[in-house]
Amino acid sequence: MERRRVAISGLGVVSAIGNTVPDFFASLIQGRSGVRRLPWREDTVAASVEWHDESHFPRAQLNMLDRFSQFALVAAQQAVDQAGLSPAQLATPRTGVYFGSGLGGAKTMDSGYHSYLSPAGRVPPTLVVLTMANAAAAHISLRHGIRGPSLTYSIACASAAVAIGEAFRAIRDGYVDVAIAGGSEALLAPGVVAGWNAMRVLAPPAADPASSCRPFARDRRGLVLGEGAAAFVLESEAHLQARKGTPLAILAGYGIASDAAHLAKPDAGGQVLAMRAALADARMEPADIGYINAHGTATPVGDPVETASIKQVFGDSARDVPVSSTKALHGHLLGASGAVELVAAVMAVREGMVPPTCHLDAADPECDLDYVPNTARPAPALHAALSNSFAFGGTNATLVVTRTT
Amino acid sequence: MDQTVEAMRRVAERKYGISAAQLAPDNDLATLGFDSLAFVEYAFELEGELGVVLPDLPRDLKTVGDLARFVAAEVARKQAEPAAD
Repeated sequence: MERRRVAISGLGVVSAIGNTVPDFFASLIQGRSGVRRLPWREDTVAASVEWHDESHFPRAQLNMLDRFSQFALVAAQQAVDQAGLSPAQLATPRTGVYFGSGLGGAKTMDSGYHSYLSPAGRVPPTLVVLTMANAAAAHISLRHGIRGPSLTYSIACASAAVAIGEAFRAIRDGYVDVAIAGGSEALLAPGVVAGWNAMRVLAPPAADPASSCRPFARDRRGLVLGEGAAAFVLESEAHLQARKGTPLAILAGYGIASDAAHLAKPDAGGQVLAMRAALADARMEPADIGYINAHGTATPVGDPVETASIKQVFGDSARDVPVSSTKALHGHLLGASGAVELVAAVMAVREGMVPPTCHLDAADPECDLDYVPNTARPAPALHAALSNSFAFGGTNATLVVTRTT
Repeated sequence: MDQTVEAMRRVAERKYGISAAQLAPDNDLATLGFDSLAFVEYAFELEGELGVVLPDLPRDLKTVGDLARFVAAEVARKQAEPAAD
């Protein structure tokens, strides 16, 4: 039976390396890093977003918007604007919102607890509705009058990839015609960062703090936290054609699988299953893939496991496919990472240009693929790209995108 | 009372971008964009500004003036209390 094809008709991004898609992709290609020391915690680097909230929202609205909801709304608006959907085309029960976040309104929660434990002991009455994990999806639905499902997926670092994948399935299976899908994260708050530091998985500041995140490198020291959001307008190809819209790319496949092995330690078993499932879903062979946007967090444990997984899936041709981790520049956006990195993959196939893995001078001997070190690579024939997102908890999600023709 | 109104204006401007002119006593709170949650939040901010703890807000507060009189009465009640030592 012929399946409904799912087109991507709009993209939006908010990140440390650009708050528009062209800026974001130019930073990736030119190797501009958004990583710097946190102003309030000098021993920690992060990829924080330059953000002046009053330039995006009236003051009266900001009372109801945690930073993660602000990022989500701005990214979603960019995607809607690019798709050219009218308000009437969005405001129907045939449109849904599918969004991911790891920690929801973490900054509001953090400051709320700080206030609660202070002598005054007061907590703002908006704490509950600002921090709830589904606040971002709810605000997108409210803003655009979207009457179909408004769903939130919280699967740690795979949240956004799963949200996009589930939206893809909902369109393909005919439950909705249009979806705003993506992820948002904004957890650079003192208590949360202390938790990450306590876990000892963060890279310490490098001599040049901007180069602290070093995926696949021999001298990598850990991940670097990021923040931001990315959003997509996904649409059944029939709906897009009927309204004479323009597809940017095709979302061709989604695979999801669990390690069932450990709460935090990555495992090749689930990663291989997810990549194979996504390829099968897209009805593609490994040889069809011309670029892999790796999960590549730059932790000592994670990068060799992902390398081994790619080798299992791609076999003898694993070294022929360019693999890069763009986290070196935008950091690890956790619950938004799958969305931000899918923007990178979509732009790579659209522009025929593979973004590099920056800060990679000498690869770990256990990491022996083609990581496109430091310099972007023209790839005019690039047709399909695969993006990996692997989560704490052991959930692995893989998405496949292709050019429109 | 004047002190209370001044505090209400400061908070309204700072938190909501509502100008002092819009806070005329006869203006309906609902027309300023205060739904029930925003109203509770406004009261929370006023507590911080005035250093008082307000009881639950009566449901019949309709206008800016109603709220100002209610808050001012609570401020006066607090000031009349013997200082704790």
